Amino acid sequence: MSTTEVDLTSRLLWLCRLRWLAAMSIIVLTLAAVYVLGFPLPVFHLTIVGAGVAVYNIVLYAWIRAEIRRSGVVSLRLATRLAHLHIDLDLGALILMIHFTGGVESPLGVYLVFHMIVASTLLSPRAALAQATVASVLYAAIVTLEAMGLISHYALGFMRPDFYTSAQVYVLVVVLMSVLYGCIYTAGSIVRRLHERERELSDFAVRLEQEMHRTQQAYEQIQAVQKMQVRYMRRVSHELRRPLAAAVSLATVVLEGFSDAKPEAKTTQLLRRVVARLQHGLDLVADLLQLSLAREAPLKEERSWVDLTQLIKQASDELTDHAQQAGVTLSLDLDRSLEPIFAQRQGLGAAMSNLIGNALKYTDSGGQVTVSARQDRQATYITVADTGMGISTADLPHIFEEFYRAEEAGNRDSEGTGLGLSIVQSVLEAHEGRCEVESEPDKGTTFRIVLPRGNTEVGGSQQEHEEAPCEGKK
Amino acid sequence: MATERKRILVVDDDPDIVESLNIVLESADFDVDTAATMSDGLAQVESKRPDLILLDIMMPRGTEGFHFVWKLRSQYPDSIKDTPILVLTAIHSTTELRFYPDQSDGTYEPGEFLPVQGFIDKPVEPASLLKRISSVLGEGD
Repeated sequence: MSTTEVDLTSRLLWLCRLRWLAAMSIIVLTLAAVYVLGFPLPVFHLTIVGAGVAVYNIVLYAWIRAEIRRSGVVSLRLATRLAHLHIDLDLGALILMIHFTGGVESPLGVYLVFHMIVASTLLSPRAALAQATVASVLYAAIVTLEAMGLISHYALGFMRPDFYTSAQVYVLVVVLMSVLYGCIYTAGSIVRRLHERERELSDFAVRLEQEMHRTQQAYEQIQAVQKMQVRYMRRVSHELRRPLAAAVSLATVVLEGFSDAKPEAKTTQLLRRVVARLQHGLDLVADLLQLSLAREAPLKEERSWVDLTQLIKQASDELTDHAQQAGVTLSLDLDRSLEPIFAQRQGLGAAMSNLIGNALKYTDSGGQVTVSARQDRQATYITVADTGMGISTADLPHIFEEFYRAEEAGNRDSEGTGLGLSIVQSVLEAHEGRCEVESEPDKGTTFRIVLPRGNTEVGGSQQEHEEAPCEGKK
Repeated sequence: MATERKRILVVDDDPDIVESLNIVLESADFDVDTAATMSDGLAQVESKRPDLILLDIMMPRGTEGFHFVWKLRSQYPDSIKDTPILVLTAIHSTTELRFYPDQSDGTYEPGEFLPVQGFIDKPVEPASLLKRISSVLGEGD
């Protein structure tokens, strides 16, 4: 809307500039026509019209400028009224000019066409049409009044002296009228089409700006993600660097013969430490790989029917030797009627191995680790409970963070990667499940996995899926 | 050996790094003490009066290495607060963390930012470590 009033105002100012030229031309051309070319025109009347045009132009111009100074912009209402005033005054001046330059003989009749084009650009289609009608009526009136001798006819000598009094003169009137209406129609449709284009363009500009804004936001999000990735990579590099740097240090000592100079430092023992650190680096890489698989899993959706009893037995069988060495009793308490669940077998297996492995690691000889599983209509529940060292309240909120290692855990097991529980959590998030933990220092820890059945079973309806997702998702 | 054996304190939380440094330093006839934490390290500076400290910056546990330096330099008696320190680090090559000014800067002076005698990249190459140590101890004499 604001573009329209600004647009209209600028067109009115353009018309004012054009009118200075018109006023000047009227006076100059009149003098030239009369005194140089010898036409018998009423110099005084025409000069008055020229001066009149100049005067109303000054008034209109000052009006617009004052309005702009006062309120910054000419309102659409005022601009429209001013446009009408401009056009009406111009039409009046033009009709007078035509009358004083020969009426039907006047070549200035052609200027009515120009006037119609200007009216089409400034006025509404209906007002422009009215303008053509008024112009036609006034033109016909001059011709008629001159023919009847009620007003004087300023003969230029272009036509037979009796022509302007004959009925034939109306042929010219009708032709001019048809040209005026044709002009309004043609100019009007061109103007309308231009306005449509303009509107389309401005709509397009608005859409483009919105699109750019959205693109900018997406770009910023990508940048933030990238920043996080860089930070994560740095963290991972540092974690990998530790065991590698230690391994290189130890190996260099052996390689450069320093261990020989120190009898009690057995070369074999040093090499064993090198291997242990390299093994730790390898474990770290394996866990990172597992973690990336678990993170990617929701995107891949590679699920199948998994026999839970078999999965848990397999995970615990792999750790039986470890449990025996540690002197810890590992027992299973699985519901006999466990139904298969629709899940990612590998991920779930890794989660179980991590939880059972952790429990064994942090439980002293003589302790107990129990894995139990049961189901109800809503979910599958798996718990891994130990009678081990427990987790302090300070560490508890952080144990699922990547690379987080409780101080006590570090003292007990220097080779942990700090990624085990992150893997567990990522796997469960991929299943829209959750992992809860309860722990009391020196008494033991219980991890409890909850896998909603709506999500792990193909039979469960998709709606259920949407309504009750991961309540406890971190 | 007419001259007194020099004493070096190694502060690092990685037991394997400590072990390898220990072997290298003992082979070069230094008396070696080791500490795994900042507090233990500072206590040993007081009790053992080392001639040189090899200090790990101990990332990512935090900034204990930095605190060790600032604390020793600012809060300890004159007799020990200026004990030379060589910082063992892999940090300045892998992070943008800068604890001494940009070396390409013309006004750079070694050790200006963190008041230590120098930095050695980890993993440590034994020969260059011993060379650095002897140059620092030579200056100290």
